[in-house]
Amino acid sequence: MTLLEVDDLHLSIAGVELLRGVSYAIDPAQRIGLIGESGSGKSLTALAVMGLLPHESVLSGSIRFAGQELVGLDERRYSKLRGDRIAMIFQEPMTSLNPLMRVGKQISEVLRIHQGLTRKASATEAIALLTRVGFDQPELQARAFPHQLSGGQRQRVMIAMAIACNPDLILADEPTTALDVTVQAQVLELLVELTAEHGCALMLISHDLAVVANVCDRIQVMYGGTIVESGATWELTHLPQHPYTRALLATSHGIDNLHQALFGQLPTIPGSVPQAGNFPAGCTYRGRCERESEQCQTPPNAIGAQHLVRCWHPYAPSHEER
Amino acid sequence: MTQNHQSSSSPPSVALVQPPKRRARLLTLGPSATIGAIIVAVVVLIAIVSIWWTPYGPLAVNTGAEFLRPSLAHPLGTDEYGRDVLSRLMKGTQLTLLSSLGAVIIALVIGVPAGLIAAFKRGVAGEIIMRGADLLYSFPALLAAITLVAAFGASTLTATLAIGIASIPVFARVTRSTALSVLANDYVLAARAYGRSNFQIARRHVLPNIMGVLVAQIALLLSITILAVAALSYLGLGTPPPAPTWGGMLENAQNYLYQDPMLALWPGLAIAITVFGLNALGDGVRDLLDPTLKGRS
Amino acid sequence: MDSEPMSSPTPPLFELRHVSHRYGSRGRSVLALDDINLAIDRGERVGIVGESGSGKSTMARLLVALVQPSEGEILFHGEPLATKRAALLDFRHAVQIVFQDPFGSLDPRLSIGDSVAEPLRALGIQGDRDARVRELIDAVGLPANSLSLYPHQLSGGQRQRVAIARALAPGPSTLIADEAVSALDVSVRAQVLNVIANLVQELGLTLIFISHDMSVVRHVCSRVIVLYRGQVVEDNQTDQIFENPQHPYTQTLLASTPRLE
Repeated sequence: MTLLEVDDLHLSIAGVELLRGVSYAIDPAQRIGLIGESGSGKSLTALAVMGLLPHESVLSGSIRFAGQELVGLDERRYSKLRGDRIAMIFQEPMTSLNPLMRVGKQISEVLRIHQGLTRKASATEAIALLTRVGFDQPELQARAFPHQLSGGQRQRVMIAMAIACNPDLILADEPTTALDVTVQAQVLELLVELTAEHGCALMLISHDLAVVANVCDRIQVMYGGTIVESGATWELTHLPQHPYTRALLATSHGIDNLHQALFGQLPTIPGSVPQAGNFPAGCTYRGRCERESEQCQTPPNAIGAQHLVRCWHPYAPSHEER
Repeated sequence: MTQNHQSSSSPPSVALVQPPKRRARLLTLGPSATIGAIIVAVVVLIAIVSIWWTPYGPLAVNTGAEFLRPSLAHPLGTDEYGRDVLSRLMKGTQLTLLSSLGAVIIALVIGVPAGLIAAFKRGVAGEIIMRGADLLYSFPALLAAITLVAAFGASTLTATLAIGIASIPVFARVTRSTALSVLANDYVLAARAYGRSNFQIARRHVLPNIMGVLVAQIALLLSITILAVAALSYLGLGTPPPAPTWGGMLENAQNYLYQDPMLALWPGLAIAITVFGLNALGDGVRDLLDPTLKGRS
Repeated sequence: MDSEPMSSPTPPLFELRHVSHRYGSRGRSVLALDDINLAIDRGERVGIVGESGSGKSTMARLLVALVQPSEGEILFHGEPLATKRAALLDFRHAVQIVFQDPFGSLDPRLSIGDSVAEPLRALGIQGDRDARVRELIDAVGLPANSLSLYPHQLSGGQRQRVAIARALAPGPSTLIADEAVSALDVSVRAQVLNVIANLVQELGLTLIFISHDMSVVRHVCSRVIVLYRGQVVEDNQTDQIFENPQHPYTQTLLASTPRLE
């Protein structure tokens, strides 16, 4: 059975349209990546699943988690789910950890709330979790306050909190963006290891295509509040069909390309990313797309099943991309 | 200069990032703040008008017309000397505003530069200034006023000075904290990198960016100083009688509560309404400026 | 592995001799840079790469004379950098910087045109300021109508272009980019890098590009200096660094950078 099924999600906050028809599915133990730039709505998608949208949000559509409908779920039942069956890891650990509480206590709090463990039992379990996420002096480090730890260590604490109750799904929103590259690699490795070990599904949200490609089996590309392409990692990165995906790949490859001459022009996407409230009518990629036509004034339908693309003029899948 | 625009081109006109709705909101006050603004405007108008004209002379004694009820001739009645209450109230507006404005100006002129210096010179100098402000803040304004009056006699000037000095720390603190957040921005660093001195940065970048907060603080402080001025003149430490101050009128009316309880109502109401108006206005201005303080979209 | 600057009759543009920098008071201080010795010649395009705690931000501030080193000396054109503001004015004409944060690098109260003209006013540069500002805005690829707009009306990439225009206003011969594209979206990053690369080439600028991102540096720099915990651990030509990294830290850095298959 599909673990998470999101169907035609529309979100507006204060009259500004932020998500326009987001649909995707996550299977148990699957690792799926969500790629997008600022304004694409990728973080909001995760917040919608967690039920952490701001009060003034108007959300329509369906989010079914293990068969249970989450849209419109009352707060009491939602808070039982959060931390226990669905967990979230945020980008900035400094602001998502309580600065006044020792990290060990923050982890044990999750255990006490959801699993009803006693103080002693949860403290022991917290230390075990800290060991699992790579702390070498867990008894000592459990007593540290967040500001006494490094960025990478704080993210590990967040990961510990996320897996504490053995959730079915972890949503990780740019978990390594604020970290140094060397630490990033370690934290990502840890995340992959733990999710595999616990049989937990992972949705990794990032702007970095390379990060997501190395971790996830499927990638979804978001642009302008909707998913424009979705497919298996290899296919999406080698045979992209949506013009935006192709352009994004070209840009990432360009910066990375061994053969790029010094000071040669990097491939770019003309124009700039539309911000919420300023999405063009019809296809949101209008104005920047090399294959644009009259037809693009109406929102394109999604084509395909395993490899889905939302475009009137997608590139044929046989096109080799480099 | 030949330019290669092909890869770095942008569309012919820069797309507006902010939806139009938000900009309109920036320019309107909330309902209570609008009421506050109207009240303040009316009070200021009365104060200005009373410089040249009041229905009757505020000091004009009128034997035989004591304690008259409100009527067409005397809309707020007369006091124990037959003086027209409305005229006295109007004149009182002028005196009260003068005193409190004077106090706020003193606090501004000394407090803002002190706060700026404390923000720029984070070391010993800054600490000395802030601890000095703490000292001043903890000293009761009333006590300072009494001391000054004992030394120099009661007058508008002593009241203004006492309250002004006591209010310096308010501006010093607010200035310092908002200046610090402005100074944390990279555009200040950039300004240093193209040769701006501290003074130039304060004038060109810091002050304009904290102006909104200061304006809100001025309105709020005015409401406090008006209360303080009224309190001082109630205690006889402000402008000496027979000059009509709101506090003085209040104190006076106490003696005649049986004969004419309305006498106490009018100055009390004047104080309350003015203070409310300034508070509402100050709050509204501050709320307005909050989201755009750091220029983040 | 330091590469010696080529011996030339003219002194190097920048020379750091035994430069160390410490933050904090005597009791608890942090050593941001530890005995740095390096030289940068005129016209070079140097990348300075490091992670947090490497000292690269300190290095940026030292090179643009926003901070004075606790120890050692910095030579510019063979002369030690002045400390008094007045004496530094010539230097300020010659060396300018672009910062990381597109949201904080422009004064929200100033229009774009005013922001770009600021260095001209500050340094008392004479001449037709309006024309110069228009020229600069055009050079960074922004349309002329952006001059009357305010920062909150522009996107991050557009603001960075304005910051670049502002940095070029005094006509510097050296541009320092301190993580100038790190806070931008991927697709915008390429645009701004192109702008920088084009301008550096056209104006013959010396470029010092500070970043934590190896792949970005690779595109615009011919020489890379790797910093780790306040020390230079490797200093070599770009292709050497990428194909033949010597220091274990450089190797780790390269290995950790995620790559598309």
